[in-house]
Amino acid sequence: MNLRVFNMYIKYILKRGARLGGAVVCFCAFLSACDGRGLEPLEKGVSIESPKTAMLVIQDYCPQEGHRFGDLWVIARSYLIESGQILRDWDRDGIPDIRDNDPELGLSAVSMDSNQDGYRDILIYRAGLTTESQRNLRLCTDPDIDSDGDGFNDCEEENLLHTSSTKWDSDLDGVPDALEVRVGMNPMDGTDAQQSPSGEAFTNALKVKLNLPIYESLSTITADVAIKYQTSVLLEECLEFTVDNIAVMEASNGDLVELYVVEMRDDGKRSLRIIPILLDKTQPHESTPAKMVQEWVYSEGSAAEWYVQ
Amino acid sequence: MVRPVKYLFLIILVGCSRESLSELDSLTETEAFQATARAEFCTLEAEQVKSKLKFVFIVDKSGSNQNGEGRLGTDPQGLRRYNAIIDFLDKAPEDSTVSYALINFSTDASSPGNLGFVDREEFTTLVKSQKYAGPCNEDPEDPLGPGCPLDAGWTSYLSALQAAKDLLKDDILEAKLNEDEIVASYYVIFHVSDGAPIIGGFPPDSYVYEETNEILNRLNSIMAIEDGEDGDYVEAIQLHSLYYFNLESDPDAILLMDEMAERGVGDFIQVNSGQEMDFTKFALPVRNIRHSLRDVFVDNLNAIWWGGEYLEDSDADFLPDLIELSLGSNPLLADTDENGVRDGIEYWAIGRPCKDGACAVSGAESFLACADLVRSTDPTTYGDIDADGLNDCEERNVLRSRHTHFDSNEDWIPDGLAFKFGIGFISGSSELNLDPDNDQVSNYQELKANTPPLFPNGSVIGTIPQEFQMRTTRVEATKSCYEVSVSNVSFKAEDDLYILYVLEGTSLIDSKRFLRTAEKSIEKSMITFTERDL
Repeated sequence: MNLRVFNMYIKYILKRGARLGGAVVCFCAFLSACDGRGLEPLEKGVSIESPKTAMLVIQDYCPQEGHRFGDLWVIARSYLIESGQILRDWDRDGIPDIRDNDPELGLSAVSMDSNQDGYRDILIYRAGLTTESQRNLRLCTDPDIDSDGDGFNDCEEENLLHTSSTKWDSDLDGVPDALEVRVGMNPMDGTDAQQSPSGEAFTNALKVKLNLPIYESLSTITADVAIKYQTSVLLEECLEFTVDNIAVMEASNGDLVELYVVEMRDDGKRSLRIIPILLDKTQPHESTPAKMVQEWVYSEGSAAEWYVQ
Repeated sequence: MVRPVKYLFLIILVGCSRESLSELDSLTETEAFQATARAEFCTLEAEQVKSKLKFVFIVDKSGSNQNGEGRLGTDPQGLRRYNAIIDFLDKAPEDSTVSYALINFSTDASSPGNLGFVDREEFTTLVKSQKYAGPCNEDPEDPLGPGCPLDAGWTSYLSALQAAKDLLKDDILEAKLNEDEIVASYYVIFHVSDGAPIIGGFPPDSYVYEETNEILNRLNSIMAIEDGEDGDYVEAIQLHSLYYFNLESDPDAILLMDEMAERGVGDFIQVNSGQEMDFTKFALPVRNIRHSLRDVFVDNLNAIWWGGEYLEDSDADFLPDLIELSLGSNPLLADTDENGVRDGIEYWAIGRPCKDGACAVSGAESFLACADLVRSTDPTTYGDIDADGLNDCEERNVLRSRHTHFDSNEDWIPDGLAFKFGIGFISGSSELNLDPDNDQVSNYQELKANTPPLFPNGSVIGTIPQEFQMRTTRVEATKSCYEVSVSNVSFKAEDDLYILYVLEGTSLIDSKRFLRTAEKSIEKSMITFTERDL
C-alpha cells in the first residue's frame, strides 16, 4: 500500500462522509486488518538483510562517431531478486543456486551449460526440458557462434528459442533477447515490454533495467533492492553514469556485472555492445564496510564488439 | 470532486463492516462498494496440458526393396525399415499423448486397415505384421519370426503425400468432434524411401519420374494446413526424409529428399547398407513443460461501464439493467429473445438488444448461419469452445472474432474482457497502448484497474480504480506459484459474481497461450480464488 492509495481513500471518505448518517464504523490503518474483515495487503516478503552494496561509476562514456546514446542496462549477474530475497547465482546462469541443482533437468550450480551441449541451462530451465527431452535437441556443432552477439549462440536461437540469430532484439520491443529470457519475458512477442502483470506503474521493460522480478510487486519486497541509475551530462555528448545499489554477494568467483549499451545510428539502425565488469574489491575508493565504490572508465570495455541490427 | 464535509467529525469507512452499510443511504447508480480479491495459483504443468504428438511413418514398399534380376534389393527382409521403426518404438517412453500411423506407398498409397492414429502397442503389432506380411524369397535366419514384407510396384511420392494429407485431415475432423475443447496435435512425418519417385519405364535411361514441382507443391499444401482454417487444431507439422540405399546413391533422390526435408522444417538423413537406420537421429519435437505467467485480470461480471458510469448488469449480458429497461429487454435475462445471442451482443450489432421491438421470441433473429455451431448435447445453446466468455455464434457470425482462439488479436487480453471494455479484439488490431479518452492512462492500465477506457478517469464519480499486488510464492522445476491480491474491487450488489482470468504461455520453443478462468462471489468483503477453482 502507499500514500497515493491512502489519499484516494480519504477523498472517497470525505465524499461519502457528507451523506452518511454518522455511524463511525471503524478506522482501518492501511496496514493492519480490521476485525479480520478489513483490507489485508499481501504479506511482505522475507526481509532482506542489506548485504554490502556497490556503486559503479562509469566514466567518460562517449557514443561512437555517427551514433547517439540509446540506452544502458546494468545487469548484476551474480544474484537474482526472487520472492523478496536476494539469491546468489554463482554460475551466473540466471538460475539462483538454491534451484540450480536439479537432476531431472540436469542443472548444476557450477556451470552455465551443465551438460556442455551448447544449450544453456537458463533455456533448459525456462522450457522445463528433462534430460531425456534434451537428447532430442539438434546437435550443436559450434556453440561459440553468436551471430547477433546477443548472448545466445545460433544453435540456441535457431533450435530452442526460435528467435532471430541475426537480430539481438528479435521482437523489436527495445529489450535485448538475452535480457527478456533472463526475467521470463517472451523474446518473440513485443507486447510484453509495456505490460505490467504485477500491476504497478513499472512496465516489464523498466523492471528489467532495475534488475527486479516481473511477477512481484515492489510493495511486497521490504528491502530497497532496485538498482538506481543516475546520468550526468559531460561535455558534448559524453556522459557519466552512476549505478548504485548493486548487491555484492562476495562470490568466490567474483561479482560480475554486465553492461548493455545501445546506440542509435543516424540511419536508424541500433547497435548493442555487452561488456562484462568484475567488481573489484581491491580497488576501493571512498568505500565503507557496507558500501563499495568502483570507478570504471568506459574505454576499458573497448574490446567488446558492437552488433548492429 | 471532493464534496464539502457537512459534519464536523471525520467518518472513515473503509469497507470493513459490510453489515452497517445497509443502515445507511443506498448507493446511487454510479457508486460502488469495495472489496478485496485474493488469488493463489500455480502455472500449469505439462501433464495437465500436453498436446498430442502424432508420428506418421510413410514407408516405401516398391519392388526395388526386394531382390530382382541381377539386382540386390535394398531391404528384402524388411530388417532396415521395420527394425528401425520397432527400435524407435521401443525407445519411446510410455506416453498416452503420443500416437502413430502408418502409410505404405508404392504405385499408390494406403494406410493399412485404415486405422488412423493408434497407440504404441497397437502400432508395434501393426509394424510387425507388415514386416512378416508374406513369404520370403529366401529363408531368413531371423530369430524374430518368419516372413518378409510384401513389396511390389513403383515409387509414387505423390500418392504417398496425398495419403498423408488425407490422414491429417481425417484426424483433424475427428478432433473437431470434441465440442468442449480444442485439442491440438503436433504431426511429425517420416518419409522413408529407397529411391527417386520413379513411376514407370525401364532402367536406367527411360525411367519415368514424377514431377518434382508437383511433389513439392503437394508437400507445401500439407505444411499449409497449420496456417489454414483448421490451424487451431494443429500445433505444428514437420516432415523428415530418410533415404536408404545399398552402395550407390542416386543424386536425384538426394536432391529431392533434401528439398522435402527443408520445406518440412525437418532433417534429411541418408544411409547406405553399412549404416544403421535410426529414427532418433532426427531432431524430434522438444516439448515445453514449463509455462510462464503472462497476466492476471479480475472483473465484476455483474457491472459494466457505460459512458462514465459503472452500472449494474444483473444478467451479465453486456447491457446495464437501466439501459435494458429503457430498450425493452429483460434485465434479468441475458438473452431476452432466446436466440442464443445475448442482448448486449445484438445491441452492438444492430443498435437494439432484439430484432423485434418487444423482444418477443417469435420475432427474434434466427442466426441460421450459426446452425452448425449448435451443441449436440443441447440444441438450444451454442458452445464457447475457446472459453473466452463469448459463445461461438456471437464470435464467428456477429462479432467476427476467432471462435477457436480466446485471444483473437493476440494481445493477451481475452476476447470477452476486451469486448466488455470496448477495446479492440478482432484479429489484427491491438489497442492496448492507446489512450482514447486522453486521461494519461493507457487502455491496458484501465483494464487492469477497472476504469473506463473511453471516458476520462478524472470525470468518473463514484468508483475508484482497483490495484494489483503480486508475489511469487514458490518456484519449482516445472511450475511457479503466485499470490495475487486486488484491492478496491468494486461491487454493486452483494451477490455480484467475479471472474478471474489467468493467462500464461510458453516463451520458448513454441508460442502457446493458455487461459484459465474462475468465478466467485463475495464472502465477507473478500473474493477468494484458489488453484482448485481454475
